[in-house]
Amino acid sequence: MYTVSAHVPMGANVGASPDGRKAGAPLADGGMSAVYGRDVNGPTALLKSVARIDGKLGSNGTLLNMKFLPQFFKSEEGIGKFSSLLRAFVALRINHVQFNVVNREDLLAAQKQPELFPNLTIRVAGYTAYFTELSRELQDEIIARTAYDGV
Amino acid sequence: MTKGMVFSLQRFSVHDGPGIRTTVFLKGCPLRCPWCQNPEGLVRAARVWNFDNLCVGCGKCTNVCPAGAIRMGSDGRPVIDHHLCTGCDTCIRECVRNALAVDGWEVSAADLAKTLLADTVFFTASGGGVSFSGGEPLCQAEFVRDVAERCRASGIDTAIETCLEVPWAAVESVLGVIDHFLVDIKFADPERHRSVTGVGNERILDNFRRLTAALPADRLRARLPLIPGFTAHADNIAAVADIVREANADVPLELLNFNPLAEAKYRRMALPNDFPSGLRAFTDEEMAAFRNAAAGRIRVL
Repeated sequence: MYTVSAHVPMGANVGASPDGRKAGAPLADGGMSAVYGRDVNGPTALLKSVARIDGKLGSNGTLLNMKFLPQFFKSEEGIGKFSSLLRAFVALRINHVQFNVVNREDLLAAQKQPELFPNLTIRVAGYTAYFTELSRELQDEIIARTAYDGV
Repeated sequence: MTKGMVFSLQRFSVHDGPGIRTTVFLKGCPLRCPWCQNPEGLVRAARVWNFDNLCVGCGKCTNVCPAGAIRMGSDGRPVIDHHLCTGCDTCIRECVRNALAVDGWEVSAADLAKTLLADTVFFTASGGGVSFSGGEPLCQAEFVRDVAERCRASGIDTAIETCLEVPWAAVESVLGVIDHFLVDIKFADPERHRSVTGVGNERILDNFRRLTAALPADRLRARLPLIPGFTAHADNIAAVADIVREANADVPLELLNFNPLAEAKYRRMALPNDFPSGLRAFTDEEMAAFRNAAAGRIRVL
């Protein structure tokens, strides 16, 4: 496993794979995240699956990206439930999870009118970047990362 | 070993009770509320549905069905005869557009409990647990009891969302394995209840009173779904609040705002539905007015 920070360029150099991934498409981001659209059982199942992987296999480090919609943090109750999720991932002994909390609509708007969103920052892969300075491919890729709205 | 018929399993369910929960949706319901949010939960048997938005009307399903249960309708879309359909899934596998799907699956109590207990670490960290919903989960009371017993044996909190339109024996059978009862009371007036849902509320209210006698108030909650043009009237809310208070004044009443999302589901499932379309959820101001209707009678959530 060696895709941290480089799943888009590395994917561009990998042919079609037996899981249905097309040639040149990005690899799973961070090395630990589910391929887009495959984590159909929600965040708890995702964390349980990631907890089963031996971290020593990730020679370039491993990380898991999870995206939540801002609505989830609107109430004290939602914040409390999120902190429980954090405690649970620590209990599962997962090395590294990074969270993005942004609206899909905001990201799409920032792509169209970058001048209106100069301060929109986002965790990419072990680093935080200004969304509008990222390449179009990476922007699309971040928008495609699964969002959990907690419904 | 009991088996149950499930139509959905929602993990990381955070809007249905304390903590992070997994909600099990069970098929089969004795009521026929025109606003039903989960129409796939009405009938106990698994059914195959055609999704209009995906179907191209090629007719392949009518040819491959071994039971001859599918014919083309006058609108160029397949019509499924649910009495002839055996749920064998041939049409689902053969459809080139993935437009057909089955709405439920049978699962053993042991297998379901295994899936539920996979999230134990999240339940423990958050004070969450397992919720049974539907449909009417107590239509499968024996199965609920078996699954809930396995959860409780592992120290997992259990809750049920029920309309109580079942024999008291079914309710009684799960009293020892369900921690929290969330009871829907839609109409105070039995005739209105009968004309709208197809069944009167006599047994529901009788079961509710027995339940309040059998359990402490902190394990109970009454809920009134606010449906525009049906249940969402000040008179009805006040009358339901009085019913709850007379049973046990310490039991809270939760007013559930209308959720307009089901309309899209009906459309996708091509279900006949005479429920008015284009309705919206109530505003904060409207919700405050509804709460006022029950205020002073009962604790409102």
